[in-house]
Amino acid sequence: MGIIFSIISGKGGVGKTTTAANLAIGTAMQGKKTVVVDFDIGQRNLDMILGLENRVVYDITHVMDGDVRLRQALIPFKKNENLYFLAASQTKDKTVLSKERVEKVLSELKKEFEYIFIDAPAGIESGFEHAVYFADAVIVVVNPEVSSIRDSDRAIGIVDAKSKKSQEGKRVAKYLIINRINPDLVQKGEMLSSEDILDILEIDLLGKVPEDQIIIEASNTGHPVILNEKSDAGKAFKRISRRLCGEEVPFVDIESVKHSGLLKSIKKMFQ
Amino acid sequence: MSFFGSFKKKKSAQRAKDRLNVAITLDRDSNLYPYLDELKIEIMQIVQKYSTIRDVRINKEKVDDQDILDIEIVLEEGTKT
Repeated sequence: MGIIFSIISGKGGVGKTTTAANLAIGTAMQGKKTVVVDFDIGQRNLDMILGLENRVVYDITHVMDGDVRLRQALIPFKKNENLYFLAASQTKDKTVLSKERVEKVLSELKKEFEYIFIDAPAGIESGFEHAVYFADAVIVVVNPEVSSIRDSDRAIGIVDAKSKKSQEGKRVAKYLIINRINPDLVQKGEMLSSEDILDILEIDLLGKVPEDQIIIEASNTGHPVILNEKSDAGKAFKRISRRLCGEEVPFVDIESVKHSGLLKSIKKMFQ
Repeated sequence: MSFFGSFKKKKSAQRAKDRLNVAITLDRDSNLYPYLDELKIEIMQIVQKYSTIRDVRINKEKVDDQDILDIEIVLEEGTKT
């Protein structure tokens, strides 16, 4: 039986879809049978990030409506044979999701795959509750800035109140990924450090991802950054994927500025 | 604090942390009892069966990890109790 990870955030635009894509590729690279599902009904995006937008024929709504079998809607990821993708529908009608219909698809996926990643809509969107209801664990993606952090705390609150596990009195595992860290700003004291963020949100850290310009290039070309051996963000996603596969990977201090040059040593003399 | 630091304002990250701690504490607090408004209305309706009522005040308190709802029912002046 597979494990369901829901990738969530409070507000939109923090890198949730990018995270879902990269972690799914990451666990597939570790040899795990993986599927990544776009649950952002009406705002399909994961297909673009994965470079699979031209391959989508059927989506999750077709499967839930019984028009096609799950197998027909699953799209293989060319660059790794362990990974499949299930698209969101572009219909505006978000009521297509219902607890029963979602459960049916997910339980089928659980039989076929070891890792199931759900790319959830933002915490305020309808459909969010469906995306977290059956989760075994949620991965909260946050940026080191006030609105993202505040909203993610509210999204975590919804998970605690509404997920199936919580309602059964069990604990839903919650992990934090801090995305778009700018080490220079953290060093200057002008950006919240990951320690600060963990203090505020009180959940476990899964990983830190530095800001990386290559991410934009990666989404432009549909070639996720984890496939780029040289990218710092890609390396960070790879470390997180290995953690998800049960490996103990030490946290890398990406917040310390690498170029501790002359200026810094002069400054130190005055401290 | 360093020589230069003493002349500087608090760094913005520290201000962000302070502000977030306050905002999130308040958010969590207000989400703790999502039913408070409805509760207030129902209490008013019940008390009105017996007396004239001016207000129901509900205060949230925390004493030794125990959550307490302190409900104060304010009657109209001159109302016999």
